[in-house]
Amino acid sequence: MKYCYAVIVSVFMFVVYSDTTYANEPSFTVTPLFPEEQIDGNESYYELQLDPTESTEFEVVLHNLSSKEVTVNASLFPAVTNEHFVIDYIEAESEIADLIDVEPSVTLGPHEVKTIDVAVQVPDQAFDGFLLGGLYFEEAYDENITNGGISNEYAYLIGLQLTNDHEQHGAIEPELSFINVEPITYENRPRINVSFQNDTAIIIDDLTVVTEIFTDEGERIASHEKVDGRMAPSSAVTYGVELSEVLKPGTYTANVTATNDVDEWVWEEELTIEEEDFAEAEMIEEESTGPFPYWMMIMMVVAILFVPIAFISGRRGRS
Amino acid sequence: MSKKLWLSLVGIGVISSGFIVSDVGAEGREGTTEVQVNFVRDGDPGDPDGALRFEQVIEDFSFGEQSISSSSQTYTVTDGIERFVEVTDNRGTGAGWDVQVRAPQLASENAELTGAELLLTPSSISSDSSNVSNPPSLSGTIRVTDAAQSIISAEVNEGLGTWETNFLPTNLELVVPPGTARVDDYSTTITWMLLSTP
Repeated sequence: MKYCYAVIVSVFMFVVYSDTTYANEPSFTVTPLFPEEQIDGNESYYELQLDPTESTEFEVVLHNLSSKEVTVNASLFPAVTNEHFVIDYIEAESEIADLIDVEPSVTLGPHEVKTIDVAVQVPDQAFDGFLLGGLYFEEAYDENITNGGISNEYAYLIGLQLTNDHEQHGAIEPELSFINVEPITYENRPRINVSFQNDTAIIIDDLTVVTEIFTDEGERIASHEKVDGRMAPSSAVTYGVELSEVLKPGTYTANVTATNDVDEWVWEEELTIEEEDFAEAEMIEEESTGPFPYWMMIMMVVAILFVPIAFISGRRGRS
Repeated sequence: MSKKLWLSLVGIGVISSGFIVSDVGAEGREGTTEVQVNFVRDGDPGDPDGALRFEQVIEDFSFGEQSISSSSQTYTVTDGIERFVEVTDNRGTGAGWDVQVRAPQLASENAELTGAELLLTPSSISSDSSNVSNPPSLSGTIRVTDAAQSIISAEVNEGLGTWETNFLPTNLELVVPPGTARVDDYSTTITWMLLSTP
């Protein structure tokens, strides 16, 4: 029935179209210059060791490869853990964002080489582990020009890690703690959001996270597995377990197991679904799969019958 | 003595003499030549030849004009153009790198194309045949979201030199569920990020 409906309404068009196609050749490069506080042996990202209250400065070299003027925007983004268990560098409130000062933008003439200044401060109080962020560089585009379709842009990101004592990182035991589990509607679909956090100021690697949702009769109704997950230092993760349908009000259980090579964390959390929790998803589900439009069917039948009748009566009229 | 044993003795001799030569060289005695190669970054700091950089990111693409349907539909790019993401790592550190993608949901000026899935599948990765570095690994199909995901990833000692990942037009897909599309123009921007991070 659904497919029949599909054929009937396949008349209106939508567009995901671009007028122009051109080769996307990045116009600048970024090269880090390391200050003396850089930990020996690391030449790929900033890993700075400073005592409390100390500060330092360094430069990042930008080179315009193109024959036109290019403006580069620079920012410091703190490291967070996103829904895919990827360490993501985004604009967010964070201690490290307050400690680092980046020259926000620089304009380079054709083929010009310039530097951007970065000033770094460490917290006044000694801290364990490290703070993690990234220096983000992107070409400043004119936001008003949109070609439609799927555009592609590029950016560079160089990690920036601040510590008081990097040799002590290995002694820190990773620790996770549960935050909560809750029903939500995401992209029109019902799902269960699960949140937990890394209580330690180190990266946790190689995480396998298995999440299962059970009814109070013990029937498994949804599951989610993530392998090779990572968590940024001192960060929380929220991810979704997609549901095939809206859950009836009642009591459910979420079982979450997170393991790396060494440790295992197991949580069993109760989840209560109320009548209104999936109201939005329910409404959309009804709209898209909604009752079959019999009025349209009737009109079609009328049209099919009417056309030949009109044709025949038209011919009769002429003869 | 057998021929084999002789050969292996000669072999040991050659290897040891190699050590002797370099040993003598280190003492700086006359009549020896020290052969040493120190690789350095090309040119001055900031010289693009010594950087980790994109040579190119994929060209913009589109899914054309489509009929609004009340069943879920999958569209692919039909222009027949093969697209490339090319990364060069001439830092010489062997530290590896990562290419991540993110994009907000497709939207028109009026509304988001809620529930739509923009899917990217890297087809293959290649380098110059003389490149002896290990190839980076490619992700499977990625549903591009606002939250970044890794699509090309070079671990330690992988991805040195220039590496080109190709995307066939059929590996750029858009899945549109029923009930979301209106008669409108939808677009989004994918950001390709090249990361050097812990």
